[in-house]
Amino acid sequence: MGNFFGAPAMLWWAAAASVPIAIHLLSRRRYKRLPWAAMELINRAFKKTRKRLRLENLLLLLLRILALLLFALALADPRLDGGKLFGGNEGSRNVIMILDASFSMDTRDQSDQSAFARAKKLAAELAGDLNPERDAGALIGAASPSQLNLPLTHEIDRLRSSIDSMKITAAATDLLGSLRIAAGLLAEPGLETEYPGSRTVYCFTDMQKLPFVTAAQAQSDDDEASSPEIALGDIPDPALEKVLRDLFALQARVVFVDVGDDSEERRRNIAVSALEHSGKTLVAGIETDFEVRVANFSNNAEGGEIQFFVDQEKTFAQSERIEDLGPRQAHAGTEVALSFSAKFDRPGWHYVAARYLEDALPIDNIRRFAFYVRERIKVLAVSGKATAEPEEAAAFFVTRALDPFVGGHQGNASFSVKEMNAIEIGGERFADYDLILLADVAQLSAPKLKELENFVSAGGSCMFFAGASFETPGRMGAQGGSSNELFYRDGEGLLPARLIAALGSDEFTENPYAVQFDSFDHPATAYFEDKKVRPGITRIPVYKFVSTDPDLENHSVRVLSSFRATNAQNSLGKTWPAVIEKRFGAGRTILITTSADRSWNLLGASPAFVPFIREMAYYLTRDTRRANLTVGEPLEARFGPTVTSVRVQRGNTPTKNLSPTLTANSQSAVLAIGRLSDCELIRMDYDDTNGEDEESMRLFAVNVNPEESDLNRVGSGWLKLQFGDELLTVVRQFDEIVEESNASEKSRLWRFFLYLVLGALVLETILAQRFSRKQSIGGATA
Amino acid sequence: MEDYRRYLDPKTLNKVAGLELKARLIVEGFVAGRHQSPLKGSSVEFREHREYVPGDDTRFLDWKVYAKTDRFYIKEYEEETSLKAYMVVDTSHSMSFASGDNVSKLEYAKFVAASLTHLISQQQDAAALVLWDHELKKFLPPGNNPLHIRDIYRSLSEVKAQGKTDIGALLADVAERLRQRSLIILLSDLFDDDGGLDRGLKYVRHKGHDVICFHTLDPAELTFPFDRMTRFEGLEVEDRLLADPKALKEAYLEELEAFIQNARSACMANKMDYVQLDTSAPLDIALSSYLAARAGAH
Repeated sequence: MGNFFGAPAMLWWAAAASVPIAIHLLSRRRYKRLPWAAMELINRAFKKTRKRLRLENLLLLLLRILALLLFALALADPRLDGGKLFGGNEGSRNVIMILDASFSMDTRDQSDQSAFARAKKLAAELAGDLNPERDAGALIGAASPSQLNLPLTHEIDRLRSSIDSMKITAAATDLLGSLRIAAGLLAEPGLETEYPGSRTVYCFTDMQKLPFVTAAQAQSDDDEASSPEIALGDIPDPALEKVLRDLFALQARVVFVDVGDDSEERRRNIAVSALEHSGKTLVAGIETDFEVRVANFSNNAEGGEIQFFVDQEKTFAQSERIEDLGPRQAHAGTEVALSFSAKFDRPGWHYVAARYLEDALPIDNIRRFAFYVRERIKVLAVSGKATAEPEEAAAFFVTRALDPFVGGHQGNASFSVKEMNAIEIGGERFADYDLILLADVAQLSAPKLKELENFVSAGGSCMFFAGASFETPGRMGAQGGSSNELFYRDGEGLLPARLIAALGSDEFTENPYAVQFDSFDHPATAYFEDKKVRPGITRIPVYKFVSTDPDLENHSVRVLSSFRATNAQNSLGKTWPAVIEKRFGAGRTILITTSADRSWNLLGASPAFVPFIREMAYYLTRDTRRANLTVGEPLEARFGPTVTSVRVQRGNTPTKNLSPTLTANSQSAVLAIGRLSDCELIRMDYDDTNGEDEESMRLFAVNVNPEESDLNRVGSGWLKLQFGDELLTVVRQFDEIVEESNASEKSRLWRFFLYLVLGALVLETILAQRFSRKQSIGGATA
Repeated sequence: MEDYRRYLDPKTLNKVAGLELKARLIVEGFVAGRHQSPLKGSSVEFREHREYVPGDDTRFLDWKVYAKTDRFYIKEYEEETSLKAYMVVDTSHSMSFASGDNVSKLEYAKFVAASLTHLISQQQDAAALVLWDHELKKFLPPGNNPLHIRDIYRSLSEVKAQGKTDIGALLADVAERLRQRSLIILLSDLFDDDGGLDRGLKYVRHKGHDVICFHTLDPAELTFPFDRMTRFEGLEVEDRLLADPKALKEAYLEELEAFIQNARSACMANKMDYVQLDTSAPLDIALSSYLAARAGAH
């Protein structure tokens, strides 16, 4: 019974077939009594018509009973061998297997068997159940990004071999992508001819919740300490629903084979979800803080030990124990942040790693972070005009803020500043520096301007300070044009905003302006979130600045802080941009709209001026090259155009020599590794033949997607509620899979039965009318 | 001036009290609808003298004989009645059937019999009445005087439907009783399950009598207009039948047609008149048929 019907419980509706009989019997109990004279005639008439009437009534009754029985059968979802019924495809099955190869599938059960191993075993068993003569199978790996491992084929041995050779990855689940691949496969023109028969998509997965719900919903619940189980309010991912509907339209049955572990203890997962530093440029000899975040994805708040490694993973440099991780939250683990510090004596590429002790899912217990450490941050500080005394130079204070030992003992200083005035700039190569600082510089030769733009565009940085030179537009005349013409160039130049006019006074006034920070979420301003140090900048008077009109619609321009009048009555709350940032090519520029010296403000006299300038310099000179990637992302390493060979070492595997390819413009060589599938450290050693590239090594850290660490599962009840039996089915055991497989092999006949119901009803109506008309015609004749 | 023709409608007539009055109204209505009156003046023939006895109607004293003999003699006359008409009314239970607001078949038969009696008496013919079901219930011999006619009316008024029909036996019995050639006016629904009509008619014909068979039927019996599930319960027999009338209609009407055809054929075979009466139809049909038959009889 269960084999023939998808919903045998619906067969109870067959009891409704007794309704016409009941109506028939009841109608015989409700009659009119009529004393009648011509009984002889009526008896003879009855005898004559009895057989025919009985036949007609019986026929109508049977048709009504049949209609109800067929309707009950249709509700019970009858299934029959399609080949036998329709004679077309001899019951052949087309099975597309999607194997979730994400790292969460590595969760071990009590017998130390991973969910992935269970998935492979079930998939292999299902493949073994296929008949190579008529069935076909395909294999898709559902790890970001999903890929078609084996297209539909009758070669079942190949399918089994592909299943066998499939390996778990460190990527996150890509259920949506894999289902899309399946839909694309089934939508291929001509597939019906080549592979007729039933279509079933089996998705062997641990039923992690995240792929089923919308990202927006997941985030919105982050702040709520609600139940970790999927809530009724969770919104199913509309994209997933769409692809399921697409598959349904393609007459494919989707079966989720749940290979996950239901036990709460096995689903307890703690992951190192983040490892990063402040984002500033790292300099050799300077201690740097790293933040490690540990996420708890279970209700068990018991913590553990975190070990911190520097440049190796054999012995930890530091360790710290977390006692209480706190209960998990609805869609994300509770994160606990730890701070570790490290100092690097050598410049170059380094990495750190943080590791949590073993749990049921080891792969997300470690996280690595690769970064470049500079020897010093090289700064060229240029003042606009030559002065008799060094203290009078426009860049004097800025230079000292960055490098107190300009030209002298450098110790552990981060910055190495060379100062000069604008006249001397012709002999300098911008590319030799990390940051160019232009204080009150309003003239620059065209070649040097071009060189400066190229320098910034290639990843360099430049900081502009306003000053007296900016007050006289057009002053430079034929030599170089005004500041706007040189540096702004209607938005195409380096300046983040057009300089309009100087506001304020040269003289000390009682109502000057002051800096105010618009937000502290920017690396250059985050330091001043601390209220203790903030007044060191915000209470320093500024007498004069240049007003600007930054194009805030342009996403590459951002105002980091502003000037406000200290007398609020005069300003009516109005502010003017003080620090404006612009992204220019691969580099960045910052404009400070007041002077670097004390001619327009007293900022330089404040101790807080040092971090104010340094934070901006650190931010501008930070290494923007991507060294930390997530599994599934592609890796393209760029080198100088003369690099012809790169020795690549991935994890503990032997080193391989690979050749990068020159880009079309011959400005760089690119080594494409492709999409990363493992959580690993990739080291690339190379030789730069012409020595332009100072470095000889690159380091990349590849980590898992922390979202995948959430082992919370989606309930089959919720799935049924949201998507319905029509779109998907969830099974756990192999016999259920076989049953679903047989169900797929068989034709689902509910539509056919509904047609029969319709036919029976139409026939009943026609016959009833025909019988009735016959009677009325008889009456008319009489 | 009152239009008597409306009294030809049995429903209207049913509202009038007294069968005699009803009979007169029917005949008046019937006459009013004809161009020539069917009624003739009285015609009597002297038969004999007899001696006067106190109480005799002095109008009939023969004064010429008195003058000659000085004795009172009464002149006795014989009415010139060439026709003796026997109204033979079926009063079996089946005649009580009435559908809707129609009069029952028995009531209708009474109207017809009464009006014919009135007409017959007006024509100086002799009217007789036979009431019967499965046996003879009343036999009023032919007569023409008003007292006799009133007896007929009274008998008709008092009779109620009961018993079974046995036409064969009845007609044989009636025919045996008639010494002269007579006109038998049979008013019945003819629902006799023994098929005695043909047998009885043959016997009557053998005795030389004429018969007008007024086959009286209710409109429901003619059209079978029922549509709800109905249990038919026999009026004369203990029989019940639960059936869907719509399903049965066609076959019933066929049977009815055959039944009527049989009755008509039996009458025609015996050279008798057959008239089908519908109890919802005007009553003049019966009178016209009678007059036609009377004309044929003479």
